[in-house]
Amino acid sequence: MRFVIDAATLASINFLLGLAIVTIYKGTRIINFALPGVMLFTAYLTVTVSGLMPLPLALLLGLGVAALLGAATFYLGIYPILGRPTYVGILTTVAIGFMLESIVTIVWKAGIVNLDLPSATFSVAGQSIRSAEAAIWATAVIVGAAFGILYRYTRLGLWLAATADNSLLARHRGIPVLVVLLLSSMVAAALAYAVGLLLGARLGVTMALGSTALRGLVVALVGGLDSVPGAALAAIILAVIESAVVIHDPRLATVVPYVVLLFILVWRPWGLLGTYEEVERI
Amino acid sequence: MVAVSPYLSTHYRARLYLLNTPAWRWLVIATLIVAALPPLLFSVYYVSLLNLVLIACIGAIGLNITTGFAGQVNLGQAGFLLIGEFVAGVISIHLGPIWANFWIAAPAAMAAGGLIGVLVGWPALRVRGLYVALATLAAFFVIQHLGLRYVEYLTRTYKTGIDIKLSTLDLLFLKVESERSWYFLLLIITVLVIAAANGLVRTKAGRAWQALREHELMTQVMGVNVAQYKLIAFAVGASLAALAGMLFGFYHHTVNPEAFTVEASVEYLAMIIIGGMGSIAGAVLGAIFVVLVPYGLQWLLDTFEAPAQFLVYFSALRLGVFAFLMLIFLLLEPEGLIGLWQRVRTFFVLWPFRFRPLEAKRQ
Amino acid sequence: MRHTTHRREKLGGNLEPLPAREQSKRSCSSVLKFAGLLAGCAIAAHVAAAPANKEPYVIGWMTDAAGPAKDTYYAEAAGFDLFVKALNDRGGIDGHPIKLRIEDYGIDAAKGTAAARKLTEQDKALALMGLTIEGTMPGIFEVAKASGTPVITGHSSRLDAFPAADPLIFTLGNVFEIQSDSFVRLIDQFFTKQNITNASIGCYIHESPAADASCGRRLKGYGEKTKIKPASNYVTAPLRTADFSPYAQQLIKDNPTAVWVFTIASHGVAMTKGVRALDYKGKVIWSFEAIPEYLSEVAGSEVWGASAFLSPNDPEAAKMPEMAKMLDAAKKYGPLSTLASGSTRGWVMGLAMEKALKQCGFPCDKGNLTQILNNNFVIDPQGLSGGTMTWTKTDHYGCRFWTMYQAEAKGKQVKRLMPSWVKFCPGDEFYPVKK
Repeated sequence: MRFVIDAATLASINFLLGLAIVTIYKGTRIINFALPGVMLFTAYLTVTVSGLMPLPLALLLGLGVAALLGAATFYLGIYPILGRPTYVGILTTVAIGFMLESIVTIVWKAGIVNLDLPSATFSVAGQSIRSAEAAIWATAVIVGAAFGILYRYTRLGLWLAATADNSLLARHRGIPVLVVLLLSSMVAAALAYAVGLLLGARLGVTMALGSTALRGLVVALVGGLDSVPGAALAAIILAVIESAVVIHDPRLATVVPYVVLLFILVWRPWGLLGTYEEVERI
Repeated sequence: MVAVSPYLSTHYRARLYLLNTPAWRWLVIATLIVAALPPLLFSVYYVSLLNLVLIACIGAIGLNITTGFAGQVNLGQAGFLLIGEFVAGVISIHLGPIWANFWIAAPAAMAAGGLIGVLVGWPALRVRGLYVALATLAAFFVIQHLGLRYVEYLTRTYKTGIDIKLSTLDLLFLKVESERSWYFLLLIITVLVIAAANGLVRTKAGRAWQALREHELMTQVMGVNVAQYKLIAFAVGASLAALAGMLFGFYHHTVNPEAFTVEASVEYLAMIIIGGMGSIAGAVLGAIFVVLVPYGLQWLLDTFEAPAQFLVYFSALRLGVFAFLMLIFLLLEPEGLIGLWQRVRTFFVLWPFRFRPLEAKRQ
Repeated sequence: MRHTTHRREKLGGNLEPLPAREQSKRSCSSVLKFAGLLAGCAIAAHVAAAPANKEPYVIGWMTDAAGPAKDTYYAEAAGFDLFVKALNDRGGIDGHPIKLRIEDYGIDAAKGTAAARKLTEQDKALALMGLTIEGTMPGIFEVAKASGTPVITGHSSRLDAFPAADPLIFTLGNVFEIQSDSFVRLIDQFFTKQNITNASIGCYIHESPAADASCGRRLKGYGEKTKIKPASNYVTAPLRTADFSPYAQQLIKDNPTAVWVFTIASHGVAMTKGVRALDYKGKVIWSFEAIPEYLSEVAGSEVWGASAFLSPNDPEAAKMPEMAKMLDAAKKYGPLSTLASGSTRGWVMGLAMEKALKQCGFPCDKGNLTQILNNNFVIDPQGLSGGTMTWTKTDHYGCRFWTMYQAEAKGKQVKRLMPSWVKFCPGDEFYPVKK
């Protein structure tokens, strides 16, 4: 039973992170490697600020800063290099992520801080569940549903799909392509912020948060870089595999996602539910 | 005899010549003389810095072949360095110090690197651009994990305590121990690697790489076996990195997987980006730049007598400055330091004119 | 069947690239101008910064200021730094100040070797002090031996300082094996004093080469030498773990009386939080020099802590005159990091260095300094530890004294649980002298 709880929590985190990657990729075909830095910066900032103002205000401020950082990543790292080969986009976002990390180290001296969210423990079926975990599940479900509705039923979703498919044509049709790309970037940053908060509430905010963000990459790739349901599916599969392996030999658990990734890349590179045409074969 | 001219060639074979003009030959001789001076003029500390630069050069040149020439973004170069380090460890510890011979360790490291490079490159065959980068990243994590297992196995089996001491590198007639002798060995190896790399990119493989970097489908259509050349690119890049890693291991007398992290991989990519992709000289320049910038930063802080509180800032500053430089070069100077140098050189060559005759204004 | 068009791998789909930059006007001249400006600044700074007092003693300290192990090592750098500042303020050693150069090399052995070279060759340091994890030490020791510089390590040390000691390596710190043996006896005595019977104990350490020598040896010692029942195996997690719940579960599987969480600070805090989240009611024990006591506030948990020196966060200890000096210095100069037990060690290392340099005179020769340290050198912690430590020709380790503290969950203060000190010296039954 504990296994199910842990797997569910892990799946939720995986899903949110994967969603962040998918969101950006759908529009810009870039993997945003700045997300770990954004996660760290906003988490530390929120914790520090929560001592000075009421908690909801601090959370909103954090959200705002995350969106700002997403926009900054776009303007500095993505917009100037549109049209250039993909690896450039990877490296500019990596550079921005590193800069954010170094700012965090300087300002917060790489310390460990606590997020004092009101917490409770309740028990279901004989297992105690902390409110932090329940919050993670709730966030994943709500955000997933919101994105699903967004992509399918709203105009913004249509714009996103159009931009992803053929951005030049979309622009000719009057879709404000750059606005759409900017929004994707901001939303992804906000998602990273949410995950950072949720993880921080559970384990404290440390510099290790950054390495969690790379999971999102694996999830997105396994599920299909441009597919939200794919991210959900991949999140669950990876969480189950990892939780099972962890019981057996915990140290193997960190490398298991990457092994799965390599396997997927060899067998089905476009991901479980991604679009087939995304990949060329030799 | 094929007519040899640096500007016009009528035969592919003519382009293979490396030092085909007197100017080049003199330049190379002068560079070698200047490069041989540091151990005689500078203190051991500076020589040790140069040793680090030389080791990085070898890895950077390998990466430049995989990523700069063949266009296969390799985010896992640190993993191949790790493999070289392990070869050093395996030879030194399991086979004994007698075998810690350069003539055995170097081919072994390069072979191991080449093999693993092919293994890593093989899943990358099926996918393009971005996915290649991520496949190499995943492969890096797997290699790092295996590395940690191996170190754990070493310490438990050999009870070597906390450090794994590698023997000194043997050249069959002398042992390489001091910084100065390391410098000469590394210099010779680096010069050979540069020559070999330059030669390699002038062969059919090099042309195939540049072609498949630009347009993979067209290259395949033209009849070039893209898969084969991709694998060769990975193999060459990985084997050079493994060589560098082996030298690193023997130089520092340790096998330390933690030294090669994702940041190290990004550092190597930064070296070729800052230096200029697709250019061997660029890789060297980039390596010099990236390795020495932190020390320059430190020198700045020391000169301005920064208080000790700045230490915390310094370690973070190093990462931040390095990332900032990488971003600046990516955005503003896509051709890297080599591009900058070429513009400067063109300015002087053409002065007082600004453009070559009969050349339209370049955008 | 969808018509698949070939698309070149470009960012932003098929948006046109931004207009290319005009050939920039940057040329040699601006680069030269910038370089000239930088050079001018450097020269000006050198001229302006030249000090005007008596010739200093140069000491090099190597630490981890912002890396994964900073909580263990930066606190002791802070203690030594405070001592040096206070010493220089009261006139230094016969008018000569100590010039302290701190190098941050994290836990990277290669960087450590380079930093050691810089300190010994460029800064001409008389001694290298501090250092971080043991894996980084062999390279640094080689550099030190090549230049004849004595090394005094802090929290971590190696068997090189243990009898029969290397002539240049000294320590006021711990070797994992010996520390483990000490902790076996400490907990045994402590449990006895607290009337805790039928105790069982577990151990957690992060994945590292030291795991066997610390947790492994400890559990073995409990099983063989005490009545405390050890866990069957110790728990380890990789350095970059983010989620500790499975490891926490493993650790408290058999509900032991107490668990050692003996690891780097971030892991320590996460594991402590993890076991508490699983409703573990037993005691969590830290080593305060590895995980500073003020972090118990962050871990939200009451922890027991083993410490070889008095904690600056212990209100009782503040009554000790030497501790008061350190706290005053902290108030005056501002410490490099939050003060912890490790800072007291740094301060005591300052006391030791002051004594040695005074004996050495000025100018102090490295060989002379080593000779003094080798020659029945007595370090008196002035009440900050349980007794004096002596370095002889064969033993550069000396005795250690351990006590137990309790850290509060709220607030940074700690409470002494054991009024006495438990003493360990080389040659002890727990402490085999043979390496």
